Amino acid sequence: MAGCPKAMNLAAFFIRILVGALFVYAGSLKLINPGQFATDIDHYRLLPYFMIPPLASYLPWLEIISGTAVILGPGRRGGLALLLTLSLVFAAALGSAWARHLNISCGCFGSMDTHSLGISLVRDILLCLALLWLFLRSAEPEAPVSHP
Amino acid sequence: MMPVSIWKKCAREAVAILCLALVPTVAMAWIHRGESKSAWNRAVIAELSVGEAGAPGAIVLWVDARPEADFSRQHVPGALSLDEEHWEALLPGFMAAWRPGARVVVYCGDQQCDRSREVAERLQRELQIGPVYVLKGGWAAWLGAQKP
Repeated sequence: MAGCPKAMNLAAFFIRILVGALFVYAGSLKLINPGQFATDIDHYRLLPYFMIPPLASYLPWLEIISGTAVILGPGRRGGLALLLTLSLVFAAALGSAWARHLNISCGCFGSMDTHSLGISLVRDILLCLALLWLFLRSAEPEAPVSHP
Repeated sequence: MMPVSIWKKCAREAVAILCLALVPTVAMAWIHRGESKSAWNRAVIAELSVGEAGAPGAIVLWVDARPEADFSRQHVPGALSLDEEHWEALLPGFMAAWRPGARVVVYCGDQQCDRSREVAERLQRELQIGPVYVLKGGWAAWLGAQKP
């Protein structure tokens, strides 16, 4: 990281908290209404029916626990790796739905999320980039990853 | 290059989070074990609009869940009548018409009616024929879409 490492550390700290909180929030919204989330997954028409209920129960917890790990510290790298993987999978699903002209909502933030697929996809790709940056930073052995 | 130990640690953390997320998922499934089946069946019945249901290339099997009298007066061309009151009598007709890969779309009077959802749930639950859809807005929406 070039230039001013202190400023970069500060930026990474805030982005990390923001991204972690975003996933805790998104996971909680899905957890409140798992039926709605299951319907949203079903609308993508990518998965067989029997897989949807277990996935709709598991994914929100995975988001919440990974997000918490990213914010609080223990297991941060693992949490970042998982969230990055999840976001890439979401991007693939959104991209495929967009390519098939499916008129569905993202389902990313529960039923309140009524943005178009295109906007959701752009949002997801930005999230992937942020997560990738945080992950690469945290994986550098000598980089100070803790508080600024 | 990142040292191998960092990747190993990251993978270990990720697996730990994946397992940790299983705990509340399984706990919730256990707590809701009695009601879960019908709740999920209700949840994953997806709604299709008239345009989506009749999209080009789809073989649609329309199911009319309205009362017999309404069906005899007028119905979607090719639709079969099926409701919970005459389930045993009407189901053989449905089974004879159903083909693998056909998109089953159930409708009732309008947005407020619940008969289509009940029939769709029962078809999905008892026959295991994959996703069964409900027509958003029902017969009223279909009629509306026929007007120039």
